[in-house]
Amino acid sequence: MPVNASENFARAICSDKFDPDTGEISPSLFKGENTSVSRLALTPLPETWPLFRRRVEKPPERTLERIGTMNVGRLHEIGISYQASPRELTVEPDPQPNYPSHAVIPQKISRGLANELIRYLEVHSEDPPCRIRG
Amino acid sequence: MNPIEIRVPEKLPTRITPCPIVEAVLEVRFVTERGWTVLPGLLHQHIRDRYREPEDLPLAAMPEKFRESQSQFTYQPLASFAGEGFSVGLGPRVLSLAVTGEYPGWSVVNKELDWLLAKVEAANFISEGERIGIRYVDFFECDLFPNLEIQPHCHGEPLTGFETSLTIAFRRERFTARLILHNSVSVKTDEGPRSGSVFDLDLSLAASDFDLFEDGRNRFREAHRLNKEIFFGLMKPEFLSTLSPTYD
Amino acid sequence: MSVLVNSPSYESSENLVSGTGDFSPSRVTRFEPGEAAKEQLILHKLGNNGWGRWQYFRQCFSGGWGEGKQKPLSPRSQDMFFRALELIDFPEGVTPSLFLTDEGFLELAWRDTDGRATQIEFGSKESEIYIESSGEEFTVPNERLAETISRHFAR
Repeated sequence: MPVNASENFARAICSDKFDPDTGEISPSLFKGENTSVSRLALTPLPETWPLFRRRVEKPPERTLERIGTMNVGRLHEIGISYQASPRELTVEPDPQPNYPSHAVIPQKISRGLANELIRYLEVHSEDPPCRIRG
Repeated sequence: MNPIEIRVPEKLPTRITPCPIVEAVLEVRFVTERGWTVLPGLLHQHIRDRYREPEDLPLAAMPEKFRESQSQFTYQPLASFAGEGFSVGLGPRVLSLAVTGEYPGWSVVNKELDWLLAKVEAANFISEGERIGIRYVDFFECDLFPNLEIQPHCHGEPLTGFETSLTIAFRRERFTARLILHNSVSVKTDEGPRSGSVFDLDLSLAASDFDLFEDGRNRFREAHRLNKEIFFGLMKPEFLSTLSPTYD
Repeated sequence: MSVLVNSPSYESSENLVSGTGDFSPSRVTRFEPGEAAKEQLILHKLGNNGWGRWQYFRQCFSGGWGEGKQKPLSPRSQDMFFRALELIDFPEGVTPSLFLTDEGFLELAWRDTDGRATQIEFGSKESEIYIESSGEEFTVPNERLAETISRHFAR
């Protein structure tokens, strides 16, 4: 059963996908299939920072730089409106041990569509806590 | 990188006497998803027919964090497997096959390489090859520079009689060649140290120019052919004639 | 002539040994053949930031990384990246970004003066190109990457 359109999800943006000098985010953040996300209804944003740090960060190699958030309904809208290759995008719950808010976007996302998603992503920094864009 | 014009003799000797080779190493650099601690055991499972248990090399005693922070150690082996006439070196990013003892000839080396590559493929820890190379070091108990077609000059006059070291990197077909010539070296041998000159030639291929398990063997053979061409091509004919060359 | 196992096969005269030993800090970096040219190229085309990102990826991402499914930085991807970088003429005022994909491939991205994206992902066998201004998104075998780059991105 897909996650409800009213929910929001979070995606970790690590140092391999984020260039702090240019502020650019790589479309490979979303390109491909089975993209891992976290449901903010189950783990709110302030708790998502330490959650993502535990799961994806391994300094000095990989550091969590930003968190990107989006509404599930918005994700769906962007997918079906993408003219080059419309796609029905969903978020499917995929809880894991110690990570009940885990979910995936199972559908294969092209580079062009991934670029669109990045464009509409809300980007948050932790220190200071703020929404940088979106 | 530019090529150098080297005039290769029409016929290359199959052997010179005495054999000047003091080091012959074939090397594969690679990336792997596997951690270092599992690699020696994983490889040994497949080569135990011919090679003994791995022994740690001195670099293995260095703290891992320090070793990883020093780029000069990236491609150094940390373990060695001893066999008959050969030793295999293994590191987190490198695998090497070195001749120990007398150089047995290319056909023996080539056969051992083929065998080893098959075992490495079976061990299945290499994600992608990064570089392959062969390095031969030849030693001569004389000043090599007057006997080579390549010489340093000063105002047009050859520099002879000086302690000299020359390193040159150039392209040879699709390979990168690095040639080091020293005329003031000491080589350790079973019979004691000997002084003289070395002709140290490394030929390597970058990642995009080979697929280790599809055409790696052929690329090593190509490298060996080029090594011989460069070695004999840079030697003055009168010097070569003193080395009792045999031609098959 | 036999060689002692595990020992370096020769030692140079002390007169020819570098003044700084291997473990002393030195401002001078001696490169393997070809590496100096790569450094110069990336500094020239991508600046200190691009150079820094490349160093970061090759130092920290050459083994397994991430949650487990990510692949080490691909040597072939690096090769193709440098071959392409020689050919690409970036438009004036552009600041390219360098990323690493989960497959271990380098990805080069920049925006034109209208903010539209161009991206090249350098795979180990084929590379993917995206040009937002023309809506093009396609893959090209690496053997044909040079001609494709020259056609689209060289002056």
